Amino acid sequence: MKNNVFKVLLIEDNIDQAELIIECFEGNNTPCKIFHVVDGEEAINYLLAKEEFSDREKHPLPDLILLDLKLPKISGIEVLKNIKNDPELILIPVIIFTSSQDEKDLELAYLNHANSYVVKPLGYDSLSNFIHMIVGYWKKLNTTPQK
Amino acid sequence: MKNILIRITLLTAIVITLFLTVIFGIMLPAFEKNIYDQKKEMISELTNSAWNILAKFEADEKKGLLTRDQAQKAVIAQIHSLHYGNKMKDYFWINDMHPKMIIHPYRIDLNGKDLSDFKDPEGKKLFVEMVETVKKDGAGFVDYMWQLREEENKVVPKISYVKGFAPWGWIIGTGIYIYDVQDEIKRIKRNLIQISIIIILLSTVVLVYLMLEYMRTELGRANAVEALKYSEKKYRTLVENNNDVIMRLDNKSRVLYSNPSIEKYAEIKAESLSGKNLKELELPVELRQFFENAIKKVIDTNQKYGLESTMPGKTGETVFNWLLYPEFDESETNTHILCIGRDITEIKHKEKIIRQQVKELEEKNAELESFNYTVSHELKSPIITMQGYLGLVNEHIKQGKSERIVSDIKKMENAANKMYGLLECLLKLSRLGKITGLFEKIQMKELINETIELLNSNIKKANIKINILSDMPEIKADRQRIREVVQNLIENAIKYIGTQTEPEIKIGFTKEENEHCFYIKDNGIGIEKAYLEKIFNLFEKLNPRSDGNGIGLAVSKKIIDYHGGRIWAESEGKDKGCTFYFTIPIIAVEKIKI
Repeated sequence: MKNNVFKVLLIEDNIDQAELIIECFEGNNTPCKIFHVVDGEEAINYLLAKEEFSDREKHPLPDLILLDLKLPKISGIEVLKNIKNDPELILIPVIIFTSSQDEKDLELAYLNHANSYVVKPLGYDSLSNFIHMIVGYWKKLNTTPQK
Repeated sequence: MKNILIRITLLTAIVITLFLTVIFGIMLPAFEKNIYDQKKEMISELTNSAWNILAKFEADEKKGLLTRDQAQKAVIAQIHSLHYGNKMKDYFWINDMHPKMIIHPYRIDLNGKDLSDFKDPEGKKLFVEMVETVKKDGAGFVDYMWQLREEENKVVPKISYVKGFAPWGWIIGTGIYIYDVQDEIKRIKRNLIQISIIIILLSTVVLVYLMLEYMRTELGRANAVEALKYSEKKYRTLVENNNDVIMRLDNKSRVLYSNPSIEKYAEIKAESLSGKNLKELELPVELRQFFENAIKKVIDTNQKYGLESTMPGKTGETVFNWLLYPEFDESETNTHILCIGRDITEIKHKEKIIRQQVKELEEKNAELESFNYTVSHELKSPIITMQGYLGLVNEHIKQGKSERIVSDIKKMENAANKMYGLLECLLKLSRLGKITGLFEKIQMKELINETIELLNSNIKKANIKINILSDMPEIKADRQRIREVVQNLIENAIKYIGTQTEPEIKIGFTKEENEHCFYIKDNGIGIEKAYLEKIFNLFEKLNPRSDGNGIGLAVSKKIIDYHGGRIWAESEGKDKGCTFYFTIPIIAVEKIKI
């Protein structure tokens, strides 16, 4: 697993920001594959392999989820609840990746079993650095149960 | 009070008079008679005893122990010395049937003398009368005048008992002096008078004491009554001028008192209620039941009971806060119920307004909070984007990837534009709360046509057929704002028309009871039912790739709210088209803005 491609599901409605994040992942030395969805509905469909995401070959379950809180249609917290209430998805680490520093959001995220909460950093360098750390930590350092 | 004093004195006088009458009028004469009778009895008994002396000597004569002469002489000697009475001065005498005196201890001059013509000072032939009495009855009483014992000069009334002694033809007798008896009676009378005077004096003292005592308590009572009257007046003034309705009922639901406050609420005179049972009053059924239940509750629990009631009154619906108190007598029995009703209509009304305002404030606050949260997030987002691409530009320059720089800058420009757009919208939103556009008459047909004209190029580009109901109503509203709503809804319909081969937008209205309901119906991409409400939230975009900023519907909703109408969307789902509705009240209402 550790030598495989590191699969990340990026749930982010701001397309330009998503592109930036993807760029950072790709600039990283570790082989990563980013799957990007733009709203809560797509995120759930992806994880449950529904509708346009029904092909698991093309849309595999990720090793890590980056989840924005403010999302169209279904909010980030709702998506988180869905993930953590699903026996198949519960083991996937979820990092809340948001611009919100609101105490309530933070609390709500952890109450719903988010694995991590990161406030979006400002600037390309810090973002790149952050992505580097994420990959380093969640792929190399941290061990997650094997499915 | 004087009256009572006079009555008491009179009564006492009557009692004393009666007492004296009984003592001196009835008891004393009876007593006197009794004394006479006793005396008479005594002399008859004494005569009988003396008579036995005669009988004894006559028996001796008969036995032959004595001759008659001897026997008679012995008798004479014995009777001469036979005395009785207090001073042993009372005596017996004997005469015969002639009459002739045989023996008289004090009138020795008469012994042996013929008494046929002897008269007392009043001319009574007393000895002849004695002979006749004996002849007739054998014995009897005779009254006459005689000297008082040995005193020859003192002649007084006397009554004597005489009894005949047949064998010798003698009569023996003894008497009493009326004078003696009267003397005794006089003494008794004197004693009685003394006792009576003492009794009367004592009674008078007691009476005076009682009267003084009575006067004192009476005076105290009069003062207490006066104080009570004053106190009663004080409380009456308090109760009668009280704004609250105050009623007093007995435990049979009978009204004993009501203060005039009730006249403010009902067409009744307070005085006319007194003595009437609740059942007799012309009260609405619910009201009567309300009171009966409340009274029952107080009687059952012996505790005060309070509750609110709304009742029809002279001045419209009135809300009362009723308090019912039980009143107890000395044996702790609930005898009366005091009802106090306070008109709290005004307070209730104000309370309602305040509650409503508080609710509105809370809503506003929540809205503001959510607004702040959303705005800060939305504003941060383009900055994060810009910052990111700024760094990327540097990176690309370093790497010599100049072909990427143009697109990076384009992204930054997009983010800046988005930021500008957001700020514009926020400004607009903030103005929405402040400006009160005057309401005017709007011909909706005209307004819609103008809007269509404005969007004509987009409509043509998408080749959309516009279908407007021929007859559109006139409404009263803020023209500029309503136009904004209509434009926004039509723009949305155009934007989300999709890849429809026969795109069409229908605009029309229906007239409801109190409002006009307008609709803008398209056959475009539709909306999933779950998101039909969400789309009206600020910055809510269903499609992140579309170029909107998620503010149009939020603004439209605010405008329609402000007009007192409602706005909502209906759709059967994806690709099934969508209809937006909004209503405007027929009678325009401008909402109070906080």
